[in-house]
Amino acid sequence: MSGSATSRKVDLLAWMRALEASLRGTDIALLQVQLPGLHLHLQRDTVGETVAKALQPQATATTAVQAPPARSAPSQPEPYPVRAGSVGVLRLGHPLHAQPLVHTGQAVALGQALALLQIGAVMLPILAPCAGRVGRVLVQDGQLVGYGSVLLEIKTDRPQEAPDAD
Amino acid sequence: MIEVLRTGALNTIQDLGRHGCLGWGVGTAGAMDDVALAAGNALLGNALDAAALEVQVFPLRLRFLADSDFALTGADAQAQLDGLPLLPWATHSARAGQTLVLGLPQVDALHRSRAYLCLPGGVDVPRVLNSRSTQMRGAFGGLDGRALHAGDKLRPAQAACGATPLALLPPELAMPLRCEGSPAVRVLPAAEYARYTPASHDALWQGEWRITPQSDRYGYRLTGQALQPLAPLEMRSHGIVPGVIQVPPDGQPIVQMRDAQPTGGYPKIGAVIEADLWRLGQIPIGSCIRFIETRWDEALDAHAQVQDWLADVARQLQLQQGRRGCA
Repeated sequence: MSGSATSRKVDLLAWMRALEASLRGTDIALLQVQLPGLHLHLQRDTVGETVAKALQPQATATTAVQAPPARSAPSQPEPYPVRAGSVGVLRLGHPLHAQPLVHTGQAVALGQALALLQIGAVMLPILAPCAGRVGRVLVQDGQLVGYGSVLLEIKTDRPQEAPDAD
Repeated sequence: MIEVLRTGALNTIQDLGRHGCLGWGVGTAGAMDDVALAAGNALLGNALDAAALEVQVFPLRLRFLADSDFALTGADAQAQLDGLPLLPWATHSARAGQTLVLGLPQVDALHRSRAYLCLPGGVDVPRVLNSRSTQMRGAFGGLDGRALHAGDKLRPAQAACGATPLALLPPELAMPLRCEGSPAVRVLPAAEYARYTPASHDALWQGEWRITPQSDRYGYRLTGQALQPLAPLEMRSHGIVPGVIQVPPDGQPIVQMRDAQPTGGYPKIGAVIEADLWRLGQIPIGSCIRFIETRWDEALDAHAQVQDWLADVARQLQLQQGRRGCA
């Protein structure tokens, strides 16, 4: 590669690291940046580390700026994150019932209620976006969650498609 | 359109009641738990006084003949749609051919015994004397003036399906009322209160009153310490309203409920306030209740509190319904 391409790559990497560091103290879960020739997708994964993907259509060294996924062997599909659609108080079970709606390992159908997001007197059922098995439950009952917070994971049998694949 | 496959007796179409007709000797009827009925309507975006199905005898089996949304409030009857459990106090969507089963009300701390099934736009039955409530004694209103039978078909006033799934916190959680561990209702002393002995007054406010099996939509017969007048009382029949606590000669009080006769001749020791009738309407037979002495201004405050809760809930639900609709 020419010197300018290499130095551009290094600048980009430093810039991404600085961006990631500045996000660490916040509760921003997803940041997307679109620049000419660059589309950056920074997503806070389920243990709080950020997974960065920068896609440069004309660069051949795309993989050099990709941070590796935190866990799971490349052959296994990523668990599908279920996110809160709004700010609210997370209820793992209905207030009238003792048991939570689902537990880790339970098979769930598409559209099945997994949890409830309480906003005032109203509760929004959080429905399974796909069929599968409940993976990790990442929040506690009564926890205040923000828009986009990952609440739990669904493990499906099919591999997940990358959201920004081109 | 919904078909009734199997029903117990005494499940009727009700709305918030037939008001303004007591002067003609026509009782109010209406849902025993009017707050649950109104909340179920709010969940679907209906007018709060739209007609619904009051279920007080379980189990109930219904089949949806067309896709439709619906809401279930009141007692948590462990409802299932084609075998899948449904959240209580929530909206759901059914497809044509699916079967809805309401089982037995859960025995939980909230002491509920009646469930409400609301449909989009309300149940489509004719209005009679300004209401869609069933007047059982007069055999009019609701579905042909009678309780539901197997084979009856209920039509929603609007065809609606695919509504935002929404759930509500039941009003008991927002407005709890208990007295020493028992569910309680507030009572105003009535016209003949002063004609009773001090011991009777103590028994009214301090005693536990059990709801006997001789209790239904007409009235609840209670059992407890006998209430005695200072001197024998005989009165001419006079106008009464739901909530009035009458004392027959045996001293065991009767609380008039929604299908009460508009007149009665027994002395009245107290009246359950309108704002607490929904609580009383949910107490199961065999349970005990307490009476809390209250004043007129407190009764008005309680009424305002319930209306405010309903308005607030309807507003919050509309916010979610509108928001999801645009997304």
